[in-house]
Amino acid sequence: MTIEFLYPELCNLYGDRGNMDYLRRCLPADYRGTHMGDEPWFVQHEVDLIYMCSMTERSQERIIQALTPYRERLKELMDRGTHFLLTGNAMEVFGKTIQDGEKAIPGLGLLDLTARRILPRRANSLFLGGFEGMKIVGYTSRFSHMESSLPPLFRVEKGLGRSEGAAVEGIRSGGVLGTYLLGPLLVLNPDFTRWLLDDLGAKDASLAFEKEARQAYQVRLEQFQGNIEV
Amino acid sequence: MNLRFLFAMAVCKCVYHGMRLLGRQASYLPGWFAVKLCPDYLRHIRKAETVICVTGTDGKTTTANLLSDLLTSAGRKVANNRIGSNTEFGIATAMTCSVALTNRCRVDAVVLEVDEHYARIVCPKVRSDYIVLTNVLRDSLQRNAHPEYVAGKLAQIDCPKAKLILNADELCSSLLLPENPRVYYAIARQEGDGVTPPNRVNDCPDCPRCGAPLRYDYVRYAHVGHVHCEKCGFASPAADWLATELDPENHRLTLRHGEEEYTLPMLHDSVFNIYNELAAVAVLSEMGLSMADIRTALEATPLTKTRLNQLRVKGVTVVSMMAKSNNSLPVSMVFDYIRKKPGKKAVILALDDLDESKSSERIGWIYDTDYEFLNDENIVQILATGVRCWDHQVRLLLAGVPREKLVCMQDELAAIEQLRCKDLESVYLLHDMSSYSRSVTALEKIRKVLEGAL
Repeated sequence: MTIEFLYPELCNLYGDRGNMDYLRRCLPADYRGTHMGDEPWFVQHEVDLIYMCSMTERSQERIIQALTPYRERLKELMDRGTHFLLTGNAMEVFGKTIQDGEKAIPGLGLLDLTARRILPRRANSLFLGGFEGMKIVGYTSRFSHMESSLPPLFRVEKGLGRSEGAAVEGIRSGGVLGTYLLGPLLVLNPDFTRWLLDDLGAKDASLAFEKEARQAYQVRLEQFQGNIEV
Repeated sequence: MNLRFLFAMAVCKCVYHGMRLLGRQASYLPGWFAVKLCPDYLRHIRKAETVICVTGTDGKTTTANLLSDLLTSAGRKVANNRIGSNTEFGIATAMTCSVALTNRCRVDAVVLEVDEHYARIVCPKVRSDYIVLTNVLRDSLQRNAHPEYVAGKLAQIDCPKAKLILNADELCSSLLLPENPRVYYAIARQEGDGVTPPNRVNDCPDCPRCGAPLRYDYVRYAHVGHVHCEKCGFASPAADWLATELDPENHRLTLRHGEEEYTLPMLHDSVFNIYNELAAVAVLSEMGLSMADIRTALEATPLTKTRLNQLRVKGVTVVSMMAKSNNSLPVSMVFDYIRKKPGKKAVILALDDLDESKSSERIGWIYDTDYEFLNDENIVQILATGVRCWDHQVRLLLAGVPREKLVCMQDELAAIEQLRCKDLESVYLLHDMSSYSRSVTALEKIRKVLEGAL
């Protein structure tokens, strides 16, 4: 199994890399990191999961530019159902456009989504949601919202979805899982991580520090289900 | 004289003195009245001979307090906003305290700690003579997002005559406001400095001029160090004030300025506090103080107690340290400082913001923080406490800390009872700024546990 982390030196905000740290402890695999200027591993090789996460607004533009030559290969992988886990503002890179005031920044155009920056306003929210019968906990903190015709990843129970007032969060398209939730999503949500491992075909892989992770999850879930402000 | 301004000042002073009589801190509200009654309040108020603004991500409180103390020791009358708010309103309060009701300035200098979001508003209005930009580093994600965003805010400071005091070793801030006059300080390569960034976070991986990966001549934390670009020749600015030798054992540092070298007291041996001290020395020297006067003032000035408190209990050193939570880098730096101290140690993590259970439960910062530094054979026990103790526990396990070294309890006082005191040489209590008063209680509890056990 091969897992590729795209541009870890730029996608290094908000503790999102905790997801890769946790996955490494759960799942023995060939982990590849592609840096700016390198040819991505997925271009010449098969990969099982591509991970990209939170980055600055300037980095979004650099990464769109860097990935544009590989657009067709990415489309092929997406059409084939390869898993993509995109956290924070990473999914916007794969969308049609990122609207920043009067400026429209073209994305890779692989996902039917349009992002709209709200700078300098920052949207912060805790999140409680649903996914395939399980509860998802997390948070978002961002400078943009989005609109999309794609099915959502999570159903919103509390907190901010794709945009203000939206009842849904993120996108799910074939193997592509995109969410505005950031930070160590996989560490925070042992059930979701279990589902992801199973979906990757790694049913034998066990959750690292499962007892402690579930304890932390349970405490958080109870708080989020209470009267906590989002 | 503008009547609206005078009325606003009279109200501000009344509110200030009224609140002080009631035992209140009066740092924010008096200034709020002043600015609401007269939006241009800060422009009208009479300025001291020297106005120093200190802004940036980390170290601004310590640097501003140090500057105030040093100037006071050097015989200057100083006003400052150390009692509280560092926004426009807090600064309006501090400035009001620097003048008489007739708007006659009563002090020689004003030292203002300025929030980085307000710097573009405040610095021009108070007609800053010096602006210290300590650094632009990763901070609370809710408010400050990422350093590029904060640097963009600071780049809007329109104060062309102000002399900037900048850390040449910190690239996100050292290149800001290129039209302003400037003075750089830095610490030369020291034993133990590497050439690979040692932390999980690095916010300047690429050359600001051409985008190629940067090479480090030395780096001590995050991206703080001296860089060059092999592709386009870009390099970190040269330092006007360069600490060439650090001697923590004798609490001395050697500072080079031009052809001259000076030996000065080192107020604290942590590298981030040395940078703060260098910034203060550079300002004072630019103000015209002699190095002899600066040295005398440094010798008379202890470090602010809120940040670091130390006691000895039956041969065990107990250190209480401020480690700003929700902010990965200062905490990583504190972890690094602790692991480099000799002897068997216990570490108590009481980092969580007290409001965290209510509104701001965001723990991404702990995955930007180098908990791996705590996976050290001399750190024999770690107590994870606070409302997020279970998250700290998982993070510590992921960092490779063995389970048997961990205690995980929400109540820090109950956790302290689990301290294993045998062979312990030091205990480090790490607390957030918001939990300072609780840390005092915790410190007392540690004393009792150690006295009972030893």
